[in-house]
Amino acid sequence: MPALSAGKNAFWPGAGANLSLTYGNALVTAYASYFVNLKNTEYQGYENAFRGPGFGTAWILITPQPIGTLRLQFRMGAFSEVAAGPGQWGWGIYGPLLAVRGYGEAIYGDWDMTPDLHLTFIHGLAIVPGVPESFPRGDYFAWIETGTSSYVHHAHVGLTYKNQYTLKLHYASDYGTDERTYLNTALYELPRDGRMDTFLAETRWTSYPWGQIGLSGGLYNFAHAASVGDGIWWGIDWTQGAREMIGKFIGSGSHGNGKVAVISAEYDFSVAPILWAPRSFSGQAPDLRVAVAALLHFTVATDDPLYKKASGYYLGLETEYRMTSLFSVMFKSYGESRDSNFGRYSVYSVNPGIAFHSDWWSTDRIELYYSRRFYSTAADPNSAQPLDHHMVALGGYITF
Amino acid sequence: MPSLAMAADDGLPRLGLSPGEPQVRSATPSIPFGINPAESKEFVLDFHGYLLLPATLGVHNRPVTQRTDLINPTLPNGDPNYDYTGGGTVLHAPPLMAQDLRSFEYTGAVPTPWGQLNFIYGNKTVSGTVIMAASTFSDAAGYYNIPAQLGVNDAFITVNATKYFGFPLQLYVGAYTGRYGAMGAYDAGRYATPLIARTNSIGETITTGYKIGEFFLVLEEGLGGQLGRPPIGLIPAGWNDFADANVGATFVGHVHLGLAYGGLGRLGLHYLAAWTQDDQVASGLVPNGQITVLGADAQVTAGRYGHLYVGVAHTQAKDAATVSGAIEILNARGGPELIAQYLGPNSNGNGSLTTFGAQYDLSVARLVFGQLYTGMSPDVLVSLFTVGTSVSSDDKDYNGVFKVKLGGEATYLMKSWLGVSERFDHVRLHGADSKQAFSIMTTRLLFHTGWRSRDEFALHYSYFQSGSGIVAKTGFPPGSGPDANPDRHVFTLSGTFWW
Repeated sequence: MPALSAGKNAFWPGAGANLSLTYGNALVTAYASYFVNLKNTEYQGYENAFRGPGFGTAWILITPQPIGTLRLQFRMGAFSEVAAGPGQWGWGIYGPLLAVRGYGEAIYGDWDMTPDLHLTFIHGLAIVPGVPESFPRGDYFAWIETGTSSYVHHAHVGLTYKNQYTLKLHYASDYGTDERTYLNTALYELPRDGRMDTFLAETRWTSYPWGQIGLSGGLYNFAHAASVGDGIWWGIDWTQGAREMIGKFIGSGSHGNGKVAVISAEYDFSVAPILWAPRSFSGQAPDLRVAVAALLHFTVATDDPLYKKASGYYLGLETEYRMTSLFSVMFKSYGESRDSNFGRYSVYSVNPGIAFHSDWWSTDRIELYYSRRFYSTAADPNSAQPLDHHMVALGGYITF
Repeated sequence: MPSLAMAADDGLPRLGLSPGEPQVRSATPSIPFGINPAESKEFVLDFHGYLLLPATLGVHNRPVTQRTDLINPTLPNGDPNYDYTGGGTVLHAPPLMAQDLRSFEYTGAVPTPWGQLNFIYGNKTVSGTVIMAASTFSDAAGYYNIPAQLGVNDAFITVNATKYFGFPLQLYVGAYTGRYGAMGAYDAGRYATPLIARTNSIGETITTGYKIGEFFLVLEEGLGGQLGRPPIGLIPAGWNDFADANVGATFVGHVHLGLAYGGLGRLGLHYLAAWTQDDQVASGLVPNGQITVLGADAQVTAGRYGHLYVGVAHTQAKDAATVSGAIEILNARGGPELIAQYLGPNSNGNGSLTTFGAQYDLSVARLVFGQLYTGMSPDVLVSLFTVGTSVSSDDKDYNGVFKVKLGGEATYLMKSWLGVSERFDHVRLHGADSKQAFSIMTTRLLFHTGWRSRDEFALHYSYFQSGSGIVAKTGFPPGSGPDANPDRHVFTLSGTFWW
């Protein structure tokens, strides 16, 4: 422990708790989340100071009285926003295609244009303060970040028809000014100002009892983005910030310049509602839940010759057969494959598991998974310390 | 709920800030933070909090420069695609500005993040308080800064033994702060700096009082120490907040005498002594260190005529380099920061500060309408504030230095949801030397959810006019990197809420 692996896991590999506290009324609400992870020598094996505890998110939300059919909200604080996830509720197996973060504000609008047609919009600004140039990377802080300050502007507009068809457009730009006086960029180049822009479209069809299909896609544009911090928090498959997006999708020889196109789709459905139709299914009976996802990405432009016309895909299948109110059987399988400096980077896994829960609708689970994993040479290049091909995970969680 | 210049409660007159109250100033209009002890006979869980969440950036003109230390030989210098030539407008987050909290230069005109959650369990006789706090929020921060995630910042037990003794008697036991010389009506003042001293210790504080007619005599005593001290050999680093292993175990004792008259005002005398007599220091045998503070202050809550605070303090440091942050003087923690900020590196921690401060807050609507004004209509709030200190030091380069800062703020609350504020600050770090002086002009547009709401959303613009000797500290820790010219323009978008 921890397991040496690459690729997507069927289970969350951490251990900890998150305390979410809200105070307010219908007009003004404060929210703060406080995270605590097992980080001490007794459980972590060493004192891992990076793992908290600490405040993660905090914001203040204003919800004024509606103006006719227009509902507005204003949020100010330290928080993140996600967008363009093809899964249910905007997430999915491979996550949203965009997340932004920082200290800032966001304005939310929801307008009932007609009884069937809703217009939603979000506009936000966020700032991620920079890291001092003399901050000792690699000290207690394992992850070496670009560390330039980020200035994020994001805007979103969407239409929903009959709560069944959804179309949303998302835009986010992350601008970094880089004044490092002696450090170079992660690409070993001189720093200079850069930006990362994201243009995404999100569509969704939801219909009972057939489930939901989400299709999202768009373009990431990088311009000297090695100097851009991680105000854009997630891109493809939770890839963090411009620096990691460059490393995975446009190459370290790109000088931070390039374009990546992406399309991500997911279908989520339950078998029981289909079989029970036209009767409604309450969820308090055996069911088979299925999610199927696929994501394709293409490097449209890059200065790195090794990544010209590079491409890759992610495939995912998650199923859960809820046999009784107390017991479920799961099967999850993932695959990812993409071009890299060292050839084709591929990881595949099959992950059967079982889960115990206290009721049909309970939010508690105890899970046991076995994972069989397959790697290409590019994904597992170190023969002296090969990645694990067999993994077992036992854990539990509860939300309240 | 009282508003500006109204008495907060009918209990013991306050000699400083209560341990659970945040040190940052309250939003406009100034009203109590509302962290009163439980009034229930039964045990109850009480939950309070404070959030100050600003997004701040500085704007500056960057000179045209060119680095020539390219380490990647495949990218030739001279290629316009890769040479850094700079120039033009540059943005900074956090802004480059002379606003180090631990230094005299700090004004509080530009807010910085702060959050705290207070959990109190108890009844009106006994309660336990745990306060979790942070000056950063990981989801928005550039990096995980361990010292800024304070964790459980305070934990203490409060006992109100009045019913047992027949006279007011309140006892605090645990880890908490004592802030004396709070210049604001309900907060530490516009500079968010306790004028006389702040204690950070684990120990006890007993407050008692005796009422004679309209007069209320208050006596407060406290004693404490810090839980530990940096072990010998500890290397200063970010994770330990750049601890100084040369400081010894430090204890602080303090006694305060106050005389209050009705709800009109209070006089206070303060004596604090922090000392170390530790033989476990890396530098070998060192003399015992001591910092003592003798202070006096007065506050007048003159109803419609506003709130006035005046205070003086004399801080005497003797071999103070080994005194830890159990005591803070003008936000400088212990002897090492007192030396760094005021006494000078060649002082050996010997010297003194003579400090004065004053703040006057006035509600014009209350002045005009008296008791008819309830805080539920337009108002103009005026605040004037100053702090100065004169340094006497064994370091000749620092001896005789006089530092002063002063300012004023006018706030017009025109609507229940809208207000505008103009604040001016002037700071002189070395007497008449205008090169070491700067001014800040801050304009704020304020939004609230109601006349006396506990929230504030503000758009700030601060213009810095800095002398040529004013630098912004950079690096980690601040001051370890190259000094930089401060930003002239600083924009802030902030939200504040407390409950």
